[in-house]
Amino acid sequence: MENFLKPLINGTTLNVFNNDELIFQSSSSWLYPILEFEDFLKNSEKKYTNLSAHDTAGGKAAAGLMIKLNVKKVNFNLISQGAKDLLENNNVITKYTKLINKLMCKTEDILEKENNIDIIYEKIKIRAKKDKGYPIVINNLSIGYNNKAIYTFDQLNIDGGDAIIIEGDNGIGKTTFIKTLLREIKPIKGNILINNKIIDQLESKSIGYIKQEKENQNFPINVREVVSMGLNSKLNKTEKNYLIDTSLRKCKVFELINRNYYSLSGGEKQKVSLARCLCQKAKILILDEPTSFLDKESKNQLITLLKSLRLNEMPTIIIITHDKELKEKLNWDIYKMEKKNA
Amino acid sequence: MLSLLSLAPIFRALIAIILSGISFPLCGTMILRLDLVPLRYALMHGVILGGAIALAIEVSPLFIIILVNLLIVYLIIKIPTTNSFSSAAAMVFSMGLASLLMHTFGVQAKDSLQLLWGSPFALSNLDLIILSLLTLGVIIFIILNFNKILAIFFDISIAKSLGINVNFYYNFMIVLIALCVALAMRLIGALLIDALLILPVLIASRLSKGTKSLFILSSIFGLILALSGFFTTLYTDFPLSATISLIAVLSYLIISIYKHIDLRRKNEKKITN
Repeated sequence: MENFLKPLINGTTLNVFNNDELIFQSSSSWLYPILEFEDFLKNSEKKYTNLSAHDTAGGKAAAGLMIKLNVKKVNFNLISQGAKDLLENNNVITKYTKLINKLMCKTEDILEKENNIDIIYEKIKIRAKKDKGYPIVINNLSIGYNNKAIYTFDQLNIDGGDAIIIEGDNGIGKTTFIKTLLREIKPIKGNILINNKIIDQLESKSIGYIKQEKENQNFPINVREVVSMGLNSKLNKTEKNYLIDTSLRKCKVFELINRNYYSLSGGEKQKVSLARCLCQKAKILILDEPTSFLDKESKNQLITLLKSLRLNEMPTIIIITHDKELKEKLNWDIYKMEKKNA
Repeated sequence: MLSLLSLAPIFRALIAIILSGISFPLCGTMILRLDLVPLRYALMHGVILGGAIALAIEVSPLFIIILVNLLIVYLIIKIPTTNSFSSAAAMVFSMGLASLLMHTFGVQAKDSLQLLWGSPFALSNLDLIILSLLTLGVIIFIILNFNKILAIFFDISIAKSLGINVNFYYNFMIVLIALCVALAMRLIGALLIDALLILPVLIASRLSKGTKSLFILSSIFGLILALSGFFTTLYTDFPLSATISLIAVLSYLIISIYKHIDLRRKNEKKITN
């Protein structure tokens, strides 16, 4: 009998084998064992080409993850019909002890009609790290200067970890909205609730801001310094260095660590700015026209990085942009700021 | 020459020159990065007004100069216009009033010219204590608030997004600059104030890749320039401000030529590879 068909013992919830050799075990619950296995694969130097797994329960989410991780054979104690169909349609040898119509959980509901593995994977990652970004609730909010409202939001709710693109004509109030979110100006009417708190009560480094880079300056400030400016001062030196290094690596700009920030290309600067926001552990990212001065290649790299950050770091992301290509490629929800009739 | 150091005014001048060599370039970095050159001019003219008041009422000038400069800073912060306009107005007002006071109180031209040239050998013990406190204050302020200063230097709106009270730190830096300019005027005078305030920063900026190294190198160059100028003055009896300024400009030229040659060599190497 092949090992993946043998029973799970001692509270184990997932066993993964390569060529029948046990390579990974977990006792976590929900989808976390498979997500932990994904991390294991990412950190492993070996290539595993003949994977088989034994899991306790499998809905469409677990099935989608198994397919994404290139598992060839699976054995579930309990499996849903949707998961079974998905696995078999993707040529995964599927064994099970008990077949049910549907798993009674929200993830199964969300994925009920979805069969695209990449979309399933994205939705699972978002749900798995839903608590990372802060939710934003805006109701009847008027923004402007000197008590004169420029724009009024009836309602705009952004769930924690969600990403939204805000567009609108010049002068409609996009910059004013950013300034209000950054607490540079106060709302004229109404308020913004972030993580169920009035915006004024929000922790100081919760919002990471990336603005468009127009001018190139001549001042000595290196990438390490730019990334470190948002660090929590209570951390020790080792913790600070670890955070700086990992943030730069996540944004694929570690090799620039000692370069002068102003000597970098537009695309490199944007990646360093994203690393700065990761380093400050921002719960909300605000990007103001991030592709304005980028060439095509840099723009594509930024889009890939933003998608990856959304899946792996999960801050709530707000992008203000006019860039059609960016909107199309990100394919995130769009909120249009429009002039309202009196 | 070393025997001269046993004389109290010369020893005081040596200490003052060491302290100012270290601290003035730190303030100079703030002036350059925060684009406060017009403010610095206003403060220099404020020193002349403060000096004129002191000469007119015959009191020690340092306190009056500091008071006038703090008043100028206060007005510039409070008047709702750009710093450049406020600074220009402060400059014209200071010179006008200084001229009027000198005329009204019959201040000798020679005494008023002293304000333009300065002299570290005329410092009192109290001046030296104030300079020591300023040096200590500037260094502690930078060490304790380096990340905040870094963020403000980098971008004011990003600094605000990090929850930094930008107005407080910005105004605090302006006050430090006001005190620094007041003391620099006593040491090397109005005409050559940039020798210790700005030139060490310009030299250091040619060699620094980061802001931390800019602060450190500016101070090191400031100290080297100040001491070179001081000992050249003792040896030759030339005016201190002139020797410091000339050595500073010469150093800046040498470093600039070296950097230019180095850059050309690197570019040639890149093409060859």
